[in-house]
Amino acid sequence: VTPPGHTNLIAHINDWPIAAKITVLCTAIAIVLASALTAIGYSQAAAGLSQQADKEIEADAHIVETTIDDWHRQRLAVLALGAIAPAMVHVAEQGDAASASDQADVLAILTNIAKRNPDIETVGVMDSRGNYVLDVDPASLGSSGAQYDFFQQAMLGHEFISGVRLSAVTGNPALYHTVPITNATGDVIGVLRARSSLTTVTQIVAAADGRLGSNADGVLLDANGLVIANTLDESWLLRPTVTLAPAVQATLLTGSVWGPDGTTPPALNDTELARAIGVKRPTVFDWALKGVEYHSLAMPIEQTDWTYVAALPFDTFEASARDILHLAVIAALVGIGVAFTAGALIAQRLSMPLQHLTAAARLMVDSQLSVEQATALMQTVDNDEIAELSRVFGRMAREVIQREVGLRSQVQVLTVQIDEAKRGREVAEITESEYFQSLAQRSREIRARRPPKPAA
Amino acid sequence: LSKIISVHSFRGGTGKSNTTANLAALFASSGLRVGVIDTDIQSPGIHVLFGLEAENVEPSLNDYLWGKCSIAEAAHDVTDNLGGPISGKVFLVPSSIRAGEIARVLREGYDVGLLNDGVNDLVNDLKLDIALIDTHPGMNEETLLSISISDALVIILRPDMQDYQGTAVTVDVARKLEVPTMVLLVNKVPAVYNTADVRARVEDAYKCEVAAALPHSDELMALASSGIFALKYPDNPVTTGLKILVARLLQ
Repeated sequence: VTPPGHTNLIAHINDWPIAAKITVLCTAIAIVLASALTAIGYSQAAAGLSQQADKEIEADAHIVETTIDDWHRQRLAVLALGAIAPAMVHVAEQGDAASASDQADVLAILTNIAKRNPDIETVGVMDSRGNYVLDVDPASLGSSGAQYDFFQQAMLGHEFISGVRLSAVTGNPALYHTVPITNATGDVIGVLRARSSLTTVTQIVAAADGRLGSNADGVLLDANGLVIANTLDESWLLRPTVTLAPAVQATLLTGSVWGPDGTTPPALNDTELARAIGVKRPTVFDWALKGVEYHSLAMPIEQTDWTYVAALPFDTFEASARDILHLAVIAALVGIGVAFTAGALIAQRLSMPLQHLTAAARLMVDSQLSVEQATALMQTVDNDEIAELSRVFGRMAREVIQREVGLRSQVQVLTVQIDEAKRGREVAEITESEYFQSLAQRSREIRARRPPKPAA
Repeated sequence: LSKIISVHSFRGGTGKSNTTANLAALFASSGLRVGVIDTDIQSPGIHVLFGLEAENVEPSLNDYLWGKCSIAEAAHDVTDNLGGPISGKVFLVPSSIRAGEIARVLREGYDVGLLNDGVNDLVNDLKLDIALIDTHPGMNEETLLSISISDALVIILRPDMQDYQGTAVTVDVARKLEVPTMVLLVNKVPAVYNTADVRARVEDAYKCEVAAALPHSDELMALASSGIFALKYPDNPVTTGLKILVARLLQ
């Protein structure tokens, strides 16, 4: 059942002039096409820009990741080279009992390493018990580092990169690279360790600030989610992303991460950022910070369990999509305007001859159409159906008008011609017959017998 | 009181049968009982206008004339075939359309006196108000008889040279038979003539009353013989003219 309103609308549209119908049709088609194309264009552009942003973020994060990895690799390589020097083995094995020349050689090697790598604050040899036996910084000598993970892991034969901690010596954040020193039979007899400042790592992260676009940021987290470096807030240094588990907190306190007498700083309580901790492969996630929505990527650092987070505000790349949308909407409006104008012009062009024709037909009905008007219709140029209809109608109308004019001029006066002589002869032929005479006689008798008719 | 009305034309093709059928329908519409007798035995046709199928034409006027039945038995009630609300009745006494019957009439003739008795019997048996006689064109014996027994005569002519002379003769003959009422009906007047003018001129030429001058009607031509025009086109100028004639005949 068609709702009554619907029927009324259809009936209403049916009453419109043809020009209005064509114009509305053109405009409606243009609106539908323009809306569809704008929607498709915008969604494609937005998707494309989002994909492009993903790729750019990943590429940028990759730069940070490889630079940090290279930095670690280089440190371990330098230490590993030093660890195989014979003098180094002797000093690790014999400690102070080693020969003066061995000690001098080792010190020369250590000094050389420290000199060539400016962010190495100190480098030294530990014996198998964890005692510092030789170091470019004499302050460490005589103390023990047996309790530290970097010593324990190296003694197990691993090259090791420690977490970041506040140095007991400098009070600044630092980290340790250690390699095992082995004797001729392959036994670990000591450890070569270097303490590096975070200067280079911080610089690598700082370089990412704004590199991808305005407000692009980076955060470097360690395996426990402590902030090692970031471009957002200096005070975040070594603060945990979320509240640490008690066991983890105890371990970190034992390792003097926040200094020999340090306490655990307050957590950032950022659960979205916490999702980046310890990822094994590049992971995209959304991150909101202080009202800014970030499109983010967590990139694992290969040499460590660190994670680098590259973040780009949605606004940065969505602004482009919005610009495209604005342009598309303007183009669509212009297109609709053009369609409306073109539709109106075409409709007028189509309906004008029809209006002439209709007017002529109305005049024709009232016998008001002149031969001149009909002739004008006959002389319609153009070759479309309406023009042909106009010509045919004009010809027909002219013929009808001319015929009517002719008929009017021929209105005849009836003349009834009767040959009276012949009439008399023919009447006589009939009435003089015997049959007629008797018929007339009988007729008179019959009528005479009939009762008289009442007056009308 | 009943009336016998003959409808005649000197030549064929004037619309005589059609006019007779329309008069019958208009009379019956005003509640009258009408009998129509087709005495055009040589070329019968009025049964078609009354929707009578060929196989239903029997018994016919011919059977009455040969003494096979009474005239009332040859009368067919065709009221329901008229296609309109009719308060009266229309009975048709058709002429046989069998070739053999027509040939027999031409060959042997018949006692025209029987027609006179037949019309009277029909009027009495069916209690008719009006008896309409559709005559044969020309001036033969049965036509003269029909005219002589009629209370009114309607002579139909077309504005055509060939009709003028014969109509003049008919008018004169009818006058000699002292028909109480005689009117002319000018039929199929072409559009080039003004009907009022035609009416006046014909009246003047024959010194006889012209009841109406009916314009040529494309609708009437298109209807052909498939129905009663006056019932299908009650507002047509032709119908208006026929109604004037009906009113005149009822005076």
